Amino acid sequence: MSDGPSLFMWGVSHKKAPLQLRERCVLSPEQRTDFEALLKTAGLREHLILSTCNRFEIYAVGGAPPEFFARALERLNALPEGELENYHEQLKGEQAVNHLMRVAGGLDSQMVGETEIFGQVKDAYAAAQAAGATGAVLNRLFQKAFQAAKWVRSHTDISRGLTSVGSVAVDLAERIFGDLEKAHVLVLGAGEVGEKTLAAMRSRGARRTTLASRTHEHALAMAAQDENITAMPLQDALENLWRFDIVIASLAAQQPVLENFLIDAALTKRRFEPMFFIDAAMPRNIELCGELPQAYVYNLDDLSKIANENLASRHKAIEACEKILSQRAEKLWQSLCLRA
Amino acid sequence: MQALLPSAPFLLALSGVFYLGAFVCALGRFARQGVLFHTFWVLGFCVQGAGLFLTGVAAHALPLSGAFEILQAITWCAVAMALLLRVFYRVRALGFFVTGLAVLLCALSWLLPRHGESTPSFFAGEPLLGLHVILGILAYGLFVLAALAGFLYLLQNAALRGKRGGGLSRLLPSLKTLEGIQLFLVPLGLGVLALSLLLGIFYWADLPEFRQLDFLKLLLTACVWMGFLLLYIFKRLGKLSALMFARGILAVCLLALASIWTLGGSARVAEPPPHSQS
Repeated sequence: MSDGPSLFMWGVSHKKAPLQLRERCVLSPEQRTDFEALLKTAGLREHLILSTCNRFEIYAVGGAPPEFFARALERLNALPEGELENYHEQLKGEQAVNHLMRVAGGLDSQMVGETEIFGQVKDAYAAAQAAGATGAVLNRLFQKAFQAAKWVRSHTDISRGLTSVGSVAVDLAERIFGDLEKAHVLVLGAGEVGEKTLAAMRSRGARRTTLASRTHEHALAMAAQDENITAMPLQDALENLWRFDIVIASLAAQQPVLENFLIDAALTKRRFEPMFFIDAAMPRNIELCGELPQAYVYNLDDLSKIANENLASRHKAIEACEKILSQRAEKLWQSLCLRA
Repeated sequence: MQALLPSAPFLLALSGVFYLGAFVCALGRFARQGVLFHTFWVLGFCVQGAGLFLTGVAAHALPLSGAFEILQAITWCAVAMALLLRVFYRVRALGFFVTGLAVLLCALSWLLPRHGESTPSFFAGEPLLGLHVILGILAYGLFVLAALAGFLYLLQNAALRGKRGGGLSRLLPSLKTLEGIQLFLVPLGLGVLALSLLLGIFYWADLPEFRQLDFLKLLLTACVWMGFLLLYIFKRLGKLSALMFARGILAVCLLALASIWTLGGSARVAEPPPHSQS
């Protein structure tokens, strides 16, 4: 049997890197194009980029020095050289296979067992496949990883009792405002997490909802589908921030949209009435310097931490999943080695 | 009626045991209290009421001339108001905290001086003077309950700031509900205490013996009333955050409860005027 394909995974994830650093690893579409161009010069035979709120990972076959990716990412995001030194992770061979299976199965997620990651991995694979960046190794690896992820979800209790970010946010809103029927909710942007959080709020009684997006037409189109949603231009929403009790921010923006002075001005106008901010964006939409009285600000890390508080009850299911995925990874790696 | 005298302290002690029983029942599942919890709670309330009544019968007057009796009566009022509050507010875990507070206050009351048999009360024969005391006790009960809501507000706020989701904080009432309860109870307590103070001032001006006994009490009560009034005005004017309001309520209420100690002392040293022993 050969040593197997030169498969590896390089990445920055929530396990090692704090939110402040992860959000600086998010690439804009232009940066992503530049990064892809750089990968082509690295001598990789196959590659796939997985970029989510909690991770930026590259699965590749070929030879590239480990520091290559860190330097490329640092350069594109104007990070100081060596910034990612202690925060990245590199896995090779069977370890990389096992890692991908754990990621797709939701075991490596911040909220263990969450299902959203499965779709994100699928999307990343579809994009890489469409760009012709995958080959025999990555194709087999990802297809097998999807099968394994589906198996653990349907045959174990990994997702039982799982709390979503949206429902955690609603629980928190109820702990501040009680009945959500009178609460005025502002949604900035139409990101997936924001949309799900809004749906959870609506299901618990929130009726007054305003949507503001960078593209006002998009907000208008969404408002036309639901009589309880009012569309508002983004600038107007920011100027009238004080009118809202709950703000769900999920705008795709490289810089914070809700700056400290805006929140401060809104709180002053509200005369000590509380405000609840949910920052569901990556990079974050809310700039927060110090603690503001009566403002409760939660980002994705905070919500995930709360959602994970019932993790202990799923300990056995997680152990079972780890064992199964490890066996599958070993088997797959052996078959990849045989084919190499 | 004298034969009933020994049973009054027994009933008051029994009520504490019932409150403790309710509290223990609620410990495991304080969000959803069961039949046993409610039975203990209501039994504690009824038995305490009976104990206070018998104490009054034994003294031929209102049972409020000792710090022990006063604290017992405040506890009884706070429990009564909490039972009423359940009608207006859907407050999770209120029973758990109220019974906990009742246990604490009942236990504390046994450390305070009691109305001695040798100390007759001067309330008899002066029904308005009795009303003054009853209203004062009722107001203190309302303030104790408002302070409890303030304490829960601080707990909930700390949990939200600390970004904790589980445990106790998840089951506490919302910040807005707790703020609403305080804003409902404080003006109610202020109104009741104002009436009590007016009656007290009338007697203070009218009866020289009352003047000797109750000047300190009247002064302390007026200070408590002023403290709550200022907090309420500042809150309504938007000069005080809900957090500061809750802290203020708690602080003034603790001072008010601490001042009860001095009332027990003043009651014991007082010599009853002959004409009031009717």
